[in-house]
Amino acid sequence: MERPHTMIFYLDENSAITLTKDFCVICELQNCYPKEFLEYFMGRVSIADVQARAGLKFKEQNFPFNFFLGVAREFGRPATEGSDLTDMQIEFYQRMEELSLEIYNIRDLQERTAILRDFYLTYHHNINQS
Amino acid sequence: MTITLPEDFTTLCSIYQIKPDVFIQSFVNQVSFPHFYSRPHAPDRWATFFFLNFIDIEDAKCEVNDDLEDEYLTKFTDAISQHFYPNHYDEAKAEEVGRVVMRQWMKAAMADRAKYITENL
Repeated sequence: MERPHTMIFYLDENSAITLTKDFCVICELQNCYPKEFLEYFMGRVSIADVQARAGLKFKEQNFPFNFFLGVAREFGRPATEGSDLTDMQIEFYQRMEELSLEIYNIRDLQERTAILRDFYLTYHHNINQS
Repeated sequence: MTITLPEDFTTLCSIYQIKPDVFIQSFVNQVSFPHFYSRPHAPDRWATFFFLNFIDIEDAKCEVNDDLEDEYLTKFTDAISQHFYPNHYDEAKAEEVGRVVMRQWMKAAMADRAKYITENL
């Protein structure tokens, strides 16, 4: 298997991800491509998956998501923010709480994740339209 | 069985002239899986939300057989969704079949608990 020689991934013409040598070395040792690793990692970052698991009392945690959240909070916005929510946001948060309780009767992890993913995607589309 | 009525609750009951027992009765009347899951848009679902939240938060205090829970909740959801057609959606029928499954679940749970006792004699 041929290894990529470069330490830089180009996302498009203007942006690229620079990987450290340490990361590239450990990928080499574990016999996986950095691209595969990053794709897998980012593919696991899913709030739908986390909520679906939590309700089913799964012991197995979603570590990529926990890591993502830790980083996001660490470098995130100041804590004072969040006092002026729009009606749509309030409705979204209310529905989010309801939905995570309501799907208690769905015991299949895939199905739960699909419902939650659909809900978050719909909200995502809505905020991008307005 | 005694219930302690906290100050804030009794204050509200006094102000609005509600008898605590009437209030609690109307609350427990709403706690129902068959009703909750057969009427996704009904306004009287708060009590069951409270119940779901309770078993979510107080998980450690509820002793439930997880395998039976999975089995019967899946049966329950399947039974209800049988009456979940877009054009002719029969809420009453869905609630009824849901309740039948809930009764079966209770029987199975009781039998399971009894088995646990006899095996340890």
